[in-house]
Amino acid sequence: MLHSLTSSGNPTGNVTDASMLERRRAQTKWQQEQLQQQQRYLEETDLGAVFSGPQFQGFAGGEAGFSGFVNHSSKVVPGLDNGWPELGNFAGGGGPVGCGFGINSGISRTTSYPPVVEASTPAVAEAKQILSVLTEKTSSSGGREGSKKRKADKNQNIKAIAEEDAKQKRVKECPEAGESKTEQNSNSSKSNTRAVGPGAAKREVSGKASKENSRVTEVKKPDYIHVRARRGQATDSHSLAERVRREKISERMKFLQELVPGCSKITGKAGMLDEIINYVQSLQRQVEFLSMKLAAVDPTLDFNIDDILVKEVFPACQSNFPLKCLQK
Amino acid sequence: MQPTSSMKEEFLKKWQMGLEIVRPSIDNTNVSERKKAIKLSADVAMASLRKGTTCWSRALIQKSATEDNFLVRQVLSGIKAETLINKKLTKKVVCHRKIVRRSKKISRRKSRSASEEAAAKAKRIVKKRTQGLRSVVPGGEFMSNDVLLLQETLDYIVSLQTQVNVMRSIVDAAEAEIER
Repeated sequence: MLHSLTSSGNPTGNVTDASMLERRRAQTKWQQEQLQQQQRYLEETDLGAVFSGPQFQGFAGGEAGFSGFVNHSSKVVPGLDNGWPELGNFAGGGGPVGCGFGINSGISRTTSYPPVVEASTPAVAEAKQILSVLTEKTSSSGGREGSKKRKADKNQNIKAIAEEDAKQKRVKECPEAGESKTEQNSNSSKSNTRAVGPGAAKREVSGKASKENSRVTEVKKPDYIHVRARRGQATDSHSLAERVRREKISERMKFLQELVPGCSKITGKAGMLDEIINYVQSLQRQVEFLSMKLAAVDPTLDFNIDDILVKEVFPACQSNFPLKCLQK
Repeated sequence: MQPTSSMKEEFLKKWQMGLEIVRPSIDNTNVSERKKAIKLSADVAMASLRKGTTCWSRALIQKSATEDNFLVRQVLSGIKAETLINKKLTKKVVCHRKIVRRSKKISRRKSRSASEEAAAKAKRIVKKRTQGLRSVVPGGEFMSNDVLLLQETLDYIVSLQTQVNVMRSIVDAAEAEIER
């Protein structure tokens, strides 16, 4: 745990690539364990994650003086960067690489850091865990909201990070790392705006508000129906109206398909119409037949409605109801 | 979209009321007459479920009224106000003429454009089937567009299912009684 702190304490960054890789491997192992813990933790405290996430961000951001806080792991690095200047270069160099590693392995990005952070302080470790939970949450919520924009943003960020990883592998200790990360942060600030704020509580509120906002936009989206012309389709009002009409017809046809037995297998409008006609005719014939039967069976047409109603409602006890007509 | 029990109940009630009115006049007739009366009352009950909101129900009421005017009016008067039916009938006649004129125009236009091979063939077949559906669903000739026709068909099928379900259950009960 502490070794990473000490190693990161070397501002000159005489950490070799090999050792970094080793550490990263260890980190990934740890990170998988951590991920499981996180999942458990996530299940336990769903709201708590959201609440405590900003707390950590407040802590890190306060120290770092960052406003645009990334919700992937690279965020932690800048925090560390500025919080502990002596860490800076190492964190700057190693951080993003680990981050990229995390992305490549398809695991939550944040989890690739925990060892380093834990090494620095137990409090940070806690916060770190929380943060990772938060990121998981945010990412999942992003998926739920289906806001493609945000997703695209994230993807871009990931790509950017990956690219920068490659760069920073080469120039590990160059001071630009921190700057680039700040750029990343600003890039991804869209996804993090909810976490930005002076106090943890306030942040939580703002986060909630932003969530609500996103939900509102989500709800608003399906309110208007677009009649869109695809490529090569006509856009004049007549063809649009025709398209709407056809859509309506196909919708009704779907309902009819559900209603008419044996119609779901048939494709094609003509066949379906055929089947519908047959079904309607068969129903009409059934009515004829049943009324014929009833006329033959029941000469006085006098049956006890209450009994039949009871029978309708409770079809289980069918046979116990005498018909008045037959008693006559 | 299966017929609900509430719908069945309502239909049964209305049908029962209609039969009560019909019964004295057909008590001593032969089987086919009785069958006609039963079917008519069942149809009227089914149509009255929709309270004249749908095209097919109005057409059905009208048709049964022309078939056996006095009886149907009596049956319906037990279910609904007769004045309401009269209003609908007059309204409908006006509506019919308009719609028929329009549909004729549309058919002329379509026949001119049918020149492509397969697409035109398929179109023609679909059109034929649609016409078939029109003839099957009561009042279908007066439904101006396909969307309306399909919607009415949906509703009609559900109502028919209700009717058939209730009638079958009653026939079953009656037969079970006879067997006893």
